[in-house]
Amino acid sequence: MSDFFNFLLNGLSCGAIYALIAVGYTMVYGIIKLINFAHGEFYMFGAFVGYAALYALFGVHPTGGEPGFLIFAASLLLAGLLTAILAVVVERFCYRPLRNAGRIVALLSALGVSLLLQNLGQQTVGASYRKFAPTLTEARFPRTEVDLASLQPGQTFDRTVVLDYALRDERGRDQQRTHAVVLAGEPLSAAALAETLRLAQASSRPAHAYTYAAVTVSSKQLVIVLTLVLVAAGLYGLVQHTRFGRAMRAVSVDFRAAALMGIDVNRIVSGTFFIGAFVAGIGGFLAGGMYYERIDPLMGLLPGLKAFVAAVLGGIGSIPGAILGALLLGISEKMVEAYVHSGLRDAFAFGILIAVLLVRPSGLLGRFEGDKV
Amino acid sequence: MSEGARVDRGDAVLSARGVSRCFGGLTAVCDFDLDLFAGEIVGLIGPNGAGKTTVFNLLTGVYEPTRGNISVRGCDIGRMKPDGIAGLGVARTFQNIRLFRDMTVLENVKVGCQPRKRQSLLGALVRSKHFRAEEAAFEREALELLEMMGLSEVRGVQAGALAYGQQRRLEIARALAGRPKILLLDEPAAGANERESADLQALIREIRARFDLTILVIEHDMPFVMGLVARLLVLDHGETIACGTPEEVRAHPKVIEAYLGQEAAK
Repeated sequence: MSDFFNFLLNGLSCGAIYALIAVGYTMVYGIIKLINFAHGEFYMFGAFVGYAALYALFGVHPTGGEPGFLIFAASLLLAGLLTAILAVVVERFCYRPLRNAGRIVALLSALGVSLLLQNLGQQTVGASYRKFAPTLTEARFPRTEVDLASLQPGQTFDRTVVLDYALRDERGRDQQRTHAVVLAGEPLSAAALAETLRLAQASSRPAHAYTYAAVTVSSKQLVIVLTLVLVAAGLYGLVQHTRFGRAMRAVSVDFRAAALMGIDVNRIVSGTFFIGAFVAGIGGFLAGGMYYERIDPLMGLLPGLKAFVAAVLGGIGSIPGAILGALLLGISEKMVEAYVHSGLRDAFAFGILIAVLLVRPSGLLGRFEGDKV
Repeated sequence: MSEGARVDRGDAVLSARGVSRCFGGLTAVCDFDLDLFAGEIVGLIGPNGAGKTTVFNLLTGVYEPTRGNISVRGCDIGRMKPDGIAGLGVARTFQNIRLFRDMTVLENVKVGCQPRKRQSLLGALVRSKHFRAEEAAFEREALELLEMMGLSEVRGVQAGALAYGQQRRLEIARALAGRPKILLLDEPAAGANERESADLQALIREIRARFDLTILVIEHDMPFVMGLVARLLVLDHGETIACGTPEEVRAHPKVIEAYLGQEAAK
């Protein structure tokens, strides 16, 4: 049963990542009825901006470097901001001139932008993966301490036990290091216990042991899910309670009528791209740079498509729908991976897309928009 | 041109000169001339497909004229976008109602306040004192307008859920929220019964006086429009075939021909 909850949590954070991309998809669709296939590339761009900001701007090593909270937040903000600016430029030059040319034309342009950004990325930073794992002191909650003195060689445990010691680094700070992980049911080796105690003597802090509860949440998962909660609350406030949101909703219902009421439609569209891409950029940095720990110019492709599926599942055009769809998709993917077959994960996701389009094209929270006859 | 059409009453608040609009090979509106003088109510009639709504679309910037000039309060609107023209004080309603259906009645009217906004995005972001004051003023005026239109009770209801007549009145309220100088009404009495038409006539007169408006109205309901306006233009196949007072227009042979066919005119 505890496995089930762990899968649920993993699915939730995976879904939260999809959600950060899907809200942009759905906002842009809601307002100009364009499936912006370049949106996954905004996510990729955000990850690279975050990488560049941490590494080049703040001098934090991309793997294992420890950015402080302020530096981390500044990089996150920069990732969102530059991605948002990229999106506004893309909209201005690749979509706006085509707005009256029909939806299929703009869709093709979006596919073109997507490929362009992927290839530009490969050309400039190379096609291979780079490891991007700034340490956010990866802690797992909840965990409980085990009295080290009570441990006996050969002892077995019903849960995984971790043996830690502290190591003094070159700057004189103690850093937590894990020496041994004893899986549930395995005997604790005498050598591991002795070695941990010996290593600990070299530092100022004693070694210690702890065990995880049956269900754990990692700090990275917490950050991602909390970010989604903040984003969702922020978007709700923006859309429902601001003048910009009011104008946005008006444009999404009827952009011609909105223009005739004095709303500058281009400004609202730019603003929508800005916000959607800002969220996607943040998502790219958090997911690529923190959760999956590696980035490459094609990293936006699959999450982008999955987010599209999520947006369709939730009802494209609806922000709450996109978030709900993304969480459902993330969780069910992990369940399929765990209980059916890991190779079927992506097939399952795209199967959902086909099923939704066949059975309920308006999605879970979408409205059916029939053409007037 | 009859006397009624071109009386010199100072500068026109809106004037169109030789305006034409072609769609491919079709000329929807041809050489359209119009002067609207402050405070008057002018009718625009014609059979279906005569180009009346195209005229509205040209005057509000939905279409650019193929030829000709339009100026609003002395300002040429040839290449302006609809939101810019709305900012000059031109508001309209629509033949097929175009409310923001899934927004509330109150929100619809507040969207209509848009042309009057003075506060920038920055003000909105930091929710400055001026911005909040402006929002509060918009809300207050929106509520007053709803009161006047008899829609106070339903201010929290989604616009799409209103009865047809209420939706028509809400469109007028939304158009008035921007404090326009010129109001274009596209078939306001469509679907209304006799009693409602009469109420609507009174309402249109009242808002003209109260908001100091100049009104151009498209209408199919002849008794309604004849009783409302001082002068009329008649369009047929994109061309202005007659203009003048209701009596003059009614007796005009071309008008009879357009409405009843050539046989009847003879």
